Amino acid sequence: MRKSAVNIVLMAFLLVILIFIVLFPIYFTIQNSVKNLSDIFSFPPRFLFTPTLENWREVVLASDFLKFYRNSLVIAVITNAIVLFLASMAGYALARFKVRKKEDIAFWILSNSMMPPIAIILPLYILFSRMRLLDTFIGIIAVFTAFNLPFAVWLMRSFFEDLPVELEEAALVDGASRIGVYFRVTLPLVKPGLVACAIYTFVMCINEFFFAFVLTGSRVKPAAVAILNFLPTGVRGTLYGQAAVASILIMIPALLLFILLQKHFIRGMTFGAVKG
Amino acid sequence: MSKGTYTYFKRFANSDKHLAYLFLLPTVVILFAIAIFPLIFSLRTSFTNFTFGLPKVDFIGLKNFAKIFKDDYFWNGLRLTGIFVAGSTGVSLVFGCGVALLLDRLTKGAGIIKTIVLLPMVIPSIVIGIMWLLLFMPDFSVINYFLDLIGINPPQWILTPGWALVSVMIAYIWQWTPFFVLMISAGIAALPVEPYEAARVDGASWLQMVRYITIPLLRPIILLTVVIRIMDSFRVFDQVFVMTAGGPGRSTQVLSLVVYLNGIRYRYLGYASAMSWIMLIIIILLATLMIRLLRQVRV
Repeated sequence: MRKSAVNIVLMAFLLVILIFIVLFPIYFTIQNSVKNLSDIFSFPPRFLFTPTLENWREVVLASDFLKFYRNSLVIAVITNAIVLFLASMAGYALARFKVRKKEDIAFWILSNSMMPPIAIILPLYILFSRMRLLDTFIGIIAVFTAFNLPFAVWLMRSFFEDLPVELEEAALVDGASRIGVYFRVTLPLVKPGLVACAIYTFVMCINEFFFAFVLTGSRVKPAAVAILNFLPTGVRGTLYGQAAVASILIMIPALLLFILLQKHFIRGMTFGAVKG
Repeated sequence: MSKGTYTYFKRFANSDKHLAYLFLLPTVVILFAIAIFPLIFSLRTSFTNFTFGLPKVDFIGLKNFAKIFKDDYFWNGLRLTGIFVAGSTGVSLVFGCGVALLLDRLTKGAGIIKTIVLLPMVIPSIVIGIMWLLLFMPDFSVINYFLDLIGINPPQWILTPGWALVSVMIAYIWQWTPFFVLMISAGIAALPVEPYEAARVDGASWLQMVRYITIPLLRPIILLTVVIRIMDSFRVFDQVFVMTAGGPGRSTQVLSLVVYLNGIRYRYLGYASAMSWIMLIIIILLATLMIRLLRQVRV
């Protein structure tokens, strides 16, 4: 089809609007992070102002936000290790072994990820407070593990299914044991899947708010919850500039990983329905 | 694959049944401990008057459920959640289809534009809430500044009942329209070329091809996407919590928030558990539908 000039202009116009709508909120947050309070509270909004690193200094050096950020990383890394180990095994079993009612088990596992957090948080809150697991790394990591596993199993299974079985068969014929084949042949082959799974789980852990908000306190609180300290509901009053700084720090891992490793993300984001 | 190795492989897999269960066991145990058992526990709690801080717990049968059906806050929450789900999913669907079709027509730069367009969906919900709180900030809203410029008289977004819910929906639509773009673009990429060639020979316009070929062929993936988004937006919490915390009044108290307030804030855990089970049943119905659709798409 030949595109007329009008068509091209219209498309360019739509694209500019689209990109503006997507990027403006992100740009505005960055802008707020380098504004002082009087520039933030001005109308009409100031797009030209003297940038200041005061908010950054406050958040990074003067507040305990980095401590909570470290909590986030600890939780994300440990959860990730456990999830990767367990999900690859379960995914492999579902992809390769003959198991009775395999499809039903697979969908049962997946269905756990659709559970509304609000339904599970009340009993967990009661049980955790009885078992003294509130505000502990063990408690929050157990919850994050359980809520990332279903998806990870599903994802790993789809990657195992894409591998040709011939290599494994050859190793089996050569007399290797099933477990030996799994660790020495299959796992190395499925590395892209493990990477995809790790990135996805990591980002989910850093981004999660609700469980951490209810189940953690001042000790192991992750950054996504600690950010509330800068908001009007927090103890220190309204600190929008600092909230913007904290926002940027929290979204940086996800944005960077997505921009650099997009193809590893896509499958995770689409329930494996779309091959990335 | 030769027949000999295949039967060998099959025999081997069969003989290693134990290994399969060994591989599945840890996952199943963890899911039982952290998801299934708590749910059963919560069902039991929902038949009691369990309140944190009160020593005595009595079974009160179905009284909690009876009370919920007379609870104004529950119905208000259900209504607001319904509006939120329908509004945000509907608008995202329309925009998502539009953007995906627009990207499909690009000959150059589609990759980088798509990366930009997908960015919002990897931003944490809590940050989305803070971003849009700043954009809608009463009296200093930059959005109102832009609306003023194009001659629209803007409302005081998060301070006005009605508009407050719309504000959160706008943030939510901004966050999740990319998911529609992602899914529909993938669907478009997998479309067969033959129908389009035939249509072109017959002199069909672009709009006609979209209407009579693209959309009908994409129906399964669009349906799946809609159901996933309905399920997910049904449990919205983070964005509402940060932006309006349920206010003004109770004009943004969606169901998750009502359950949270009853259970965690006011500590009526028996009552809140009963309410969460009603939510769970609605989600289970949706999930069943979604799994059926997912099976279709995967095949």
